[in-house]
Amino acid sequence: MSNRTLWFVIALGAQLLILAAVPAQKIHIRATGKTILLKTAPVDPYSIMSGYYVRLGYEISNPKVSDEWKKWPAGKHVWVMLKADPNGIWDAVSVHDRQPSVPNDGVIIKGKTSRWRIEYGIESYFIPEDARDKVTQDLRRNLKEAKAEVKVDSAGNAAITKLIIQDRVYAY
Amino acid sequence: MANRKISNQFRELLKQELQIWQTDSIISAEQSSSLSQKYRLDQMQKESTHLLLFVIYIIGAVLVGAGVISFVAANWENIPAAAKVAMIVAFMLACHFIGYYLWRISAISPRLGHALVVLGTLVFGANIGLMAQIFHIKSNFYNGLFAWAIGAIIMAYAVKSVPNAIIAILVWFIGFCSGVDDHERIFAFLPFVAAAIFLLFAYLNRSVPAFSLSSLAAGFATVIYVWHSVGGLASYGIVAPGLALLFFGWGLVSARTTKFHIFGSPAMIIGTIFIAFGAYISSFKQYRLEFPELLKERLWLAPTITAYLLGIAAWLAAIKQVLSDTNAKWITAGLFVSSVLVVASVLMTPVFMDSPDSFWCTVCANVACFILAATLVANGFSSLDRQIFWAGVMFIALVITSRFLEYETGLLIKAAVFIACGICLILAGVGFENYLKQRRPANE
Repeated sequence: MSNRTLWFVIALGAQLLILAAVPAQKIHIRATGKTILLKTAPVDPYSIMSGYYVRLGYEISNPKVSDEWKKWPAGKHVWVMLKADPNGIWDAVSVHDRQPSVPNDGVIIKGKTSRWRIEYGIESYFIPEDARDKVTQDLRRNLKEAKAEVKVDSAGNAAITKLIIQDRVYAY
Repeated sequence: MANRKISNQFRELLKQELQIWQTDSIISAEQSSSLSQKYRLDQMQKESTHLLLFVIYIIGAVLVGAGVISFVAANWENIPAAAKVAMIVAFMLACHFIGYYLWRISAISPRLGHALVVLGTLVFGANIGLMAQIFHIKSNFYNGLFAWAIGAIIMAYAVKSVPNAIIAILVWFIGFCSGVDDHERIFAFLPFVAAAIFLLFAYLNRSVPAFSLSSLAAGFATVIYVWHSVGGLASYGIVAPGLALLFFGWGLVSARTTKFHIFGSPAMIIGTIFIAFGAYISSFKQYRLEFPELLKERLWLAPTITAYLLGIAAWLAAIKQVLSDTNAKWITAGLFVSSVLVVASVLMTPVFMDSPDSFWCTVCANVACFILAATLVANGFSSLDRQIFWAGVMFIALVITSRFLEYETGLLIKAAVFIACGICLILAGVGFENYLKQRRPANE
């Protein structure tokens, strides 16, 4: 292999590495994470879609268990302890500014403070063009009954895997 | 020819002149033939056909790429995630490998091969977006663009491809503009880092388009950063003279080197664009009103000071050579005086901010505009360059028009000035064309 070709192969390898780095964390979370169900909270019903993505809010985006996090600066990392209720829906039980130890019946999810809520990186879900109208309408009508299936890894990183509205499952 | 690039404009002119010289018996047929051979004049037609072919191949390749990506996206729902990833990566690899084979290994069709490698980099960018869709990643738009730019510039260095570098520069600039609001401190020196990477490519490959585009992108990115940090007109006037000094000084240094003289003119033109920009913005009275807001922030200081320091360094390196060159002396002096006046106008503003004397700051900037325009017009005459002459004339017409629209004057005065400006413009044009005809009748 000539030097010129070697440089081409290295450059191609670099492009592949960059491409692999984009979903690396999400793949890891999907492979190793624990599955939980989160209840969505209403977002602006007139702008549910943002480009090709549906915008989702969660009840844990604005945890009622504490107001302390609202005083923290925007962009600060927070860890929210979640526990499952009898219906299998996970809800916030405490908010921490450092990573706490995880109890057996709980899950820690990592987020970042925004101006008025906590964001977990699961606020957007891609919907294919064909299904966009159907999902948007379903979500607009049944916003309070929608749930998201989310995987959370041991460090608290989350990835959304499914959107569930009543008995309809949207997985893309 | 092996060591330096000769412009196509020069070769075109030389080709026409050779025929005239030969008809007038100034040179013999043998001399004409050896000159034609030296400057490869017989290949000009072939070269332009190759360029046209390359452009057609690029457009064709982009259309094929867009079609394939749309086809995959149309059937997205029915394809499992692993298959989606495999398909888009396979398409990117196929473009790159087939392209590189045709371009560099077999050399069967170098232009088509190069176009496919460029397509591979475009598909790489589209794939970053598709990966984000497949895995539901809604990151900031600019993160994806920066990742694309990094991949594109690595490929550009590896295969010495100017179109790949141009993709990287454009994508980086769009990413910078869309993200400048989010990470102010990180973005402060990003234009300088990007300029270093892109300009090194331009120098290694002697590419004037890559040089010009990266200089403009890095320069305007710095201006945009300062504007986003503080807002308002004032930010433009502060940073633009520093960039003008930097690029013009750089041009002066480059023009006198044997290896990099091709970058001399583009750098000086870019420097002139920045000083015209800074002088014009500072010439508005609104500029002074916004200044107090500027002083409350400090984020603009770091990139601005860096631009000025680099500019001063470039001028110090060039000054000796400039003083020994009569032609360069006048335009350099005119541009330098304009820059100094704009800087003086900017520096005087906080001193005279609340006093009626702040009027003199605006006068200073307007004088800078006139000196710059006069320098360009004079240089147009001395170098018989129509473009430089008209740049100067149009710039002064723009400044005069702006002043009369900015200040509330009577309609009669406005009408008189606009008519006078119009007549002067026409007379200047006619005068210059006559002057050109007298000085270079053979070319016309």
